[in-house]
Amino acid sequence: MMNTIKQQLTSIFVLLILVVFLVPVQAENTKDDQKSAISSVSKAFKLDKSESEKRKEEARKAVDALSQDIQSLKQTVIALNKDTRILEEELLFPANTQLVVFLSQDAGKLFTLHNVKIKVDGKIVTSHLYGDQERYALTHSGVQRLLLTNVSNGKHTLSAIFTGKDYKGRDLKRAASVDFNKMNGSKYIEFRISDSKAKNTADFTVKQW
Amino acid sequence: MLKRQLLQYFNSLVIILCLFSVSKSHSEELKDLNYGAILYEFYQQDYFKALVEYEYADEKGGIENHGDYPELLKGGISFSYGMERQARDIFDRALKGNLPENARNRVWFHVAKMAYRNGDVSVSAKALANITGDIEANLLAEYLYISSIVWVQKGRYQDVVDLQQVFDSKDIYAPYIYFNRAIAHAQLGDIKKAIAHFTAVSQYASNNEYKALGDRANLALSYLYESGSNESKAKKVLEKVRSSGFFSNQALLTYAWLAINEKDYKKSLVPLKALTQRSIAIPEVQEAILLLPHVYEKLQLKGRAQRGFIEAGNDYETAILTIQKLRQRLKNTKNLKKFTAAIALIEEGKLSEPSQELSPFLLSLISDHTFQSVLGELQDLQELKASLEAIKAKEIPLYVILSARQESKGKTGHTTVMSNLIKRKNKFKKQYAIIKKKFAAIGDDYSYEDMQRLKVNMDYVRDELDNIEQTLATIGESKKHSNTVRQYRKRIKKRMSQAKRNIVTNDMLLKKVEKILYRLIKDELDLHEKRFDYYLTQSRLAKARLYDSLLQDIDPFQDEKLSSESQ
Repeated sequence: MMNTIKQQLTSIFVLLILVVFLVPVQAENTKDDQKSAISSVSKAFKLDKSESEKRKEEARKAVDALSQDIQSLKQTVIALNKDTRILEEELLFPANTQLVVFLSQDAGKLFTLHNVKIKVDGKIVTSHLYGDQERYALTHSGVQRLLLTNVSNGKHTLSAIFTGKDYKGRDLKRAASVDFNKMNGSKYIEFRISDSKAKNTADFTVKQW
Repeated sequence: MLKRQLLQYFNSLVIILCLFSVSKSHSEELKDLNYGAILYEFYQQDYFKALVEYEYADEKGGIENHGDYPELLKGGISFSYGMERQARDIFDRALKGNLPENARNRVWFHVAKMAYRNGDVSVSAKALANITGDIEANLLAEYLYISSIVWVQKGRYQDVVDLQQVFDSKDIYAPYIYFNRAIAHAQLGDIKKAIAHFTAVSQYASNNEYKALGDRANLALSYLYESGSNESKAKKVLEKVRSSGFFSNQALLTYAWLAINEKDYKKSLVPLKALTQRSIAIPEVQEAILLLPHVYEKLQLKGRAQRGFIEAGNDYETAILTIQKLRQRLKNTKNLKKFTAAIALIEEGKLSEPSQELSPFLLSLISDHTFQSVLGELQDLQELKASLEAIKAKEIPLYVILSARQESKGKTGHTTVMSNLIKRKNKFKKQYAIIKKKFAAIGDDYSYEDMQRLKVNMDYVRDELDNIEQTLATIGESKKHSNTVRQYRKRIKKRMSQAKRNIVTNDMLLKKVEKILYRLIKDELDLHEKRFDYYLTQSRLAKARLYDSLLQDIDPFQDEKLSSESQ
């Protein structure tokens, strides 16, 4: 953006330099050789600048020529990442034992999330510390894939312990839990943190997809 | 740096603004977790991961119940990640579909913005011309900003003036809109309105970007006043340019030249002295170093002038040496990598100590748009390489997992076991048929015990038969599994060879981009050196000339006399 503004201003400053910088200097050239030398420097500098712009234009063209190849490579690497991820999941977390846990948060005004711990059948299986960017993503419809693991078919208990601050900056620790029956096929469970304006506090709920 | 930060800030904001209506409506009820997973990466500005998430969701059956938004989001992310071709395809497709007017406008706006960012102003103008009816309120200011900048570049100043006048003056784009309008008015000869708009820009000072823009506006105002022979106002607005800001060097030098042109040499000393205290890497400082002794000479302070020219020469020589060393150092690819890494750290605000590679002589280049776009491609390629190497590193673990699965599920030697089982199965089948026949032919001559014995026998044979069939079925599954293992092996092999191939392509592209980047650095350093050479020659000539005049007319008390007079 600044570059564009710079480009826009170029025309003005060319005039500015001509009017303020070069023209008066050139008028004095006959009187003052030293000043003439300095103004020549300014002119030389301007010429160098235009040469530099020409070279930058060449660089731009050279990068543009590579751009198609770079874009294709990006596309290929994205696809390769997706394929490898699916392959890994199939091998490590087959559908018949797969459990995926998600976390979402709505406005996040009544609860600032700092940390979450996830337990499966009483054992901590993962935890996560949140930074500003992650919190921002969560409160703007982002959903975090928090856990991908294997559980056997049958009954299990999944729980999450959230620590953070309430809207007054006080420490807050809350938990949410769900009993679920793992059958064949992947199991998706989402923990949701939502602001409850009526209660002036955050609600921690669980949804089985 | 300023430009890069501003560019990043606005790019992210641009997309976020465009998607605002999307995220707002979906924050209430997300209908597909995969869509949320994409947004999670997107809002952290990890566009690569967001696109991987999108492809993953697509492979797993796509994103449901969110209409066209996910694809438009993909277009926006692709655009931000420098995949303009993919973005263009998506937007083209969307435009062919049956979109409502506001959605069409949004897509055309995206296309215009994309073309503008690629430097294709004509295409951008055409796309903007397709926007019909009212533009959505949350896009209005940005639309006015893009439109005004495009029309200015196309020389359509009247179109800029004719754009909708009413917009939120608190919008982030507002000062930029005023700025573009000021330029349009100035070009149309309406200096009064141009001054009013530039003045409006200079009122924004809530952040550094606005302050920098305000400095530019004040510089432009000084020109407008100067051209209207209002030098006192010109100086006043120049005084408003921050002394520490990006444009202060230009303002100080301009101020000094204005004073010199008025032969008010003493007044030019203050800005020139301020400039000479700054880094010699700044072109205005380089000029000021030579200009200051020249002003002393004009003030008849020949001793100071002579010292000034000598010191200027020394400064230029030292700078030339620094530049030569730096150029040699950055020729080495490893050092070039350190240099780009240092820039990345600065952008993330993580650079704790000065880097050897990050010379002040390159600071102006770093904020250059071309340099930034080359650097952006280089950084993307470096990240792609890291991603490909991470995939490559998974090769052994994946094979180990596969072998473990194979060992736990299937063993070899199934064929013999199976043929034995089939023989036994046939034998039991025959036995069962015989027993069943016997059972059906039971007559009165059979005792109860005989009947029970026959039944037990029949049940036994039936159970055996079931067991054999079950075992055979399990072995059949196991055979299927070994086929699956073979398929997995093939898939792993394929992915790994793809990774290897892409690493080669990536390295080749990296080398090419590094070469372009180094060329830009070299050109910048050459430019500095050329200028220093010229200044050095001038300082030496001035020194010789002054020595010559001093030898002819030596008055050892002249300096002191004049100095006390000037004070």
